[in-house]
Amino acid sequence: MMVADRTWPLTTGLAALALACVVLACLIGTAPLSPGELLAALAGAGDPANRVIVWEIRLPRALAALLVGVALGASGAALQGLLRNPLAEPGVLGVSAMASLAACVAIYWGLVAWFPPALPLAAIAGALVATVLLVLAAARARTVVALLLVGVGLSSFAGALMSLLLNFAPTPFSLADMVTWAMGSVANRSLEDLALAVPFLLAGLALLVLAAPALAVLGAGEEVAASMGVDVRRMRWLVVAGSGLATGAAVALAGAVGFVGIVAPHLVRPLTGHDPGRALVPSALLGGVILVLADMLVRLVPSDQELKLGVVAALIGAPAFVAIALRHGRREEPS
Amino acid sequence: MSGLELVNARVAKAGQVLLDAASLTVRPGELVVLAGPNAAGKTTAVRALLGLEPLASGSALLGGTDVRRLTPAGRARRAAWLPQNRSFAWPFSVGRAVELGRYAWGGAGARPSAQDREAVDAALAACGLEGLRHRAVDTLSGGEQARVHLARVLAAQTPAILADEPTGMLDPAQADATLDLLAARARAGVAVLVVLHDLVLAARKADRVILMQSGRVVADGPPRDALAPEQLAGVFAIASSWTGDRLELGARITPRGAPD
Repeated sequence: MMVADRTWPLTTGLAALALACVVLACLIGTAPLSPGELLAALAGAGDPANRVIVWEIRLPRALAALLVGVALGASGAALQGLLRNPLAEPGVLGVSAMASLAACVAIYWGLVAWFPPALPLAAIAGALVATVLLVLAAARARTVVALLLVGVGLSSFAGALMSLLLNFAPTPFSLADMVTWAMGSVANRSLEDLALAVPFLLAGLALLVLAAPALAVLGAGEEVAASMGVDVRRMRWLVVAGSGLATGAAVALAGAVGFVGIVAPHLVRPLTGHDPGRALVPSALLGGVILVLADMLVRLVPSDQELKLGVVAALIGAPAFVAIALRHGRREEPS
Repeated sequence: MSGLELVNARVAKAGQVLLDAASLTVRPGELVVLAGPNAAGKTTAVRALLGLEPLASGSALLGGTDVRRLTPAGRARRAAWLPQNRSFAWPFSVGRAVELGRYAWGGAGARPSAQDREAVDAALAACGLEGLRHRAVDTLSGGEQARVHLARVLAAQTPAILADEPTGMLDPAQADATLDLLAARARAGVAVLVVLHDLVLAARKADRVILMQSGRVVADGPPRDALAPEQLAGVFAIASSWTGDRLELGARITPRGAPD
């Protein structure tokens, strides 16, 4: 089998595709816009109704889906590189569930109403607690299965506490709110919501980009990588903090959306020479493309109750996860 | 002194002493074989030299500097390690796997320098891997994979190489060729330390042999002296004889009076 490295054409192609998807998401909908109307609305001219549609509804929503996909795609690629395992991902490992639990706690206790940045901060704190626990577990239990089981445990634990919160929800309104966090959705996001989460998201991505060059070297094993000049402790710190910040911010924007972080890196890996560092940026872009497209599907499927983005992502992602797990298990055999 | 040096090194883990006041040196230009029975402390000594094993006392020096005072990159630029257990978690191409050896020199990123590219090409050529450059490492035979890991170590072009059982997966001809490759690096001025179970091969290729037992260095000298029949009888309980500069191994020696 030959290994190809098409990282650069892939990256530029995906960047163009991501932009095209965001434009498309702004054009289509119950009131379709022409490209001319979109341009006019973006420039602050034309029909005021169109301006509201673009600036207050479609653009924030498309950008939210894009950024959440970018954060999850990058976090998945980086966690897979750090843990040397193609099944690692914020959703599967329980990071997203812990973040959305923390976000719900912040909403439940009224912290968010009193201090809006409490939402991303709480989600990030939840994500960081989960990533730190996972990296500690990865250092102790050296098998893939043990690590995934820790993730399953974290997810279940967060799910149980979430149910508890739902049981005691003070008003029906906050109950509906919490369901959204658990399921994942980018409906009704405003540019203000974006502005709150984006700084943390970008900070997380920056840390992951710093970690990228050494991720391939870690593929030789932690001790060998250390002998090859990698500062392994610094790498752990970068990936934990980076994926914690990015995933936490993504959850603050959209709740828990699963499986993007596993599907996107899996698809780009063959084109990046199976190098987890080189896969980072293309995975991020493809994650964004997937979620923008999935959210368009959510908007366009006619139904009384709008589908949740997280549900669509899981419907596509969960079977893909099982397929990857089966293939990986066969390749690894006596691990 | 440049090269590798272990001074009175002691390593203890879970109440067990793995290295007991062990001292050894490998000078630039020398191929030294580290031999001894299983659990003698050979791998621990190598890991201690690389700074991967914390010392209870004593010191480990890479190129004359205490390994504890070096950064990971500083260590990697002084010594390259071919570990006993070697594998890649991802199916890299052969070329990429060897390129990773240049990481400490900044040559594993998107823009390797001319020197990085030369080092990778030379390592691939030395290991006979030019034709396999774009193949995925997990589709290669055991022997080919071993050569990829060796090429990764050679590509680092460090002043010292530590190879732990480099011939484990190899047939006799390939094992011989691997030792010749390492010997050629020694001739070029590199300090080479090789852990080897094959004493016959060690006798033929080593400039010097260090024999270990129970965490201690019990012999250190030219192959003829360090692997003398009375040494091998004491350490391995095995009969042996030298004909010229050829070592021959005989049967296991059973203690007198013990059931045969």
